[in-house]
Amino acid sequence: MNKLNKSGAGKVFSVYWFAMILIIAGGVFAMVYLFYGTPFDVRELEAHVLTNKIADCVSYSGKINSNLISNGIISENKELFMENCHLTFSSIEWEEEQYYAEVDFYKLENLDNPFFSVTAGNSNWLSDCEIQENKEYKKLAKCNEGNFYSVDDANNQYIIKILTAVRKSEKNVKI
Amino acid sequence: MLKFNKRGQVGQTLTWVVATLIIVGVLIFSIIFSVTLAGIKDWSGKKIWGTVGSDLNENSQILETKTILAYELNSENKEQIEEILKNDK
Repeated sequence: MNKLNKSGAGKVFSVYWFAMILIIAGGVFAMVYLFYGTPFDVRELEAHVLTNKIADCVSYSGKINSNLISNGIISENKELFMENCHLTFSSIEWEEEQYYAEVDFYKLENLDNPFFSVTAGNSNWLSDCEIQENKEYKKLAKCNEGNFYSVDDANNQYIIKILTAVRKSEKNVKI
Repeated sequence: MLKFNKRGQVGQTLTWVVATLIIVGVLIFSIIFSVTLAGIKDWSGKKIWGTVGSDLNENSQILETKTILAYELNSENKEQIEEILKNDK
């Protein structure tokens, strides 16, 4: 009788340990899956870096790049400006460009309409920025806006607004 | 004798139940902790625990520095410009 009891308790214990091992293994799996299953979302940082890089190219030491505006006259090569800044928006990794950048130059006399603008990249992401003005959606492109003041060679004053958008949702968000 | 045995059995069972609860508790806590850590992976520019992430305010200082440098060249309408830049932020 005593022997039977002992073997019964042993069976119960082995089932218990088996269940515990399963629970612990499941827990460890859940932890690893939850942590490593979520990618790092660095798009907002990337958009900030892009804004700063463009700002560095547009204005240096408070003066606007003479390749853009010289003595108040807009350069004819302004469309090639982003290329001259060594910013490449296309990549072999993606079928379509994942970035968008827009630089607007405003004169103090007319802040409603830009004096001139330079754009580059995929303008489809611009609508994502507008949608996210009220609420943020993880899967849409992340946008960043920056503005600063600068002068040209002839000391004409400009307010420069930079808008950048980075999509790359597949690599930064769990879809 | 029988009474003693029963008490011993209850005590032992209680020990195992408490041990199981502790193990399950630690597991649940660890899962919640890893979910929190996974949430931190959304680096939207906030400095997290003062170590990881990047302070985007530091980045925006680059633009502010550009403005200050431009004031050195032409500080006409400074108040108006500052107002415009402040409102657009």
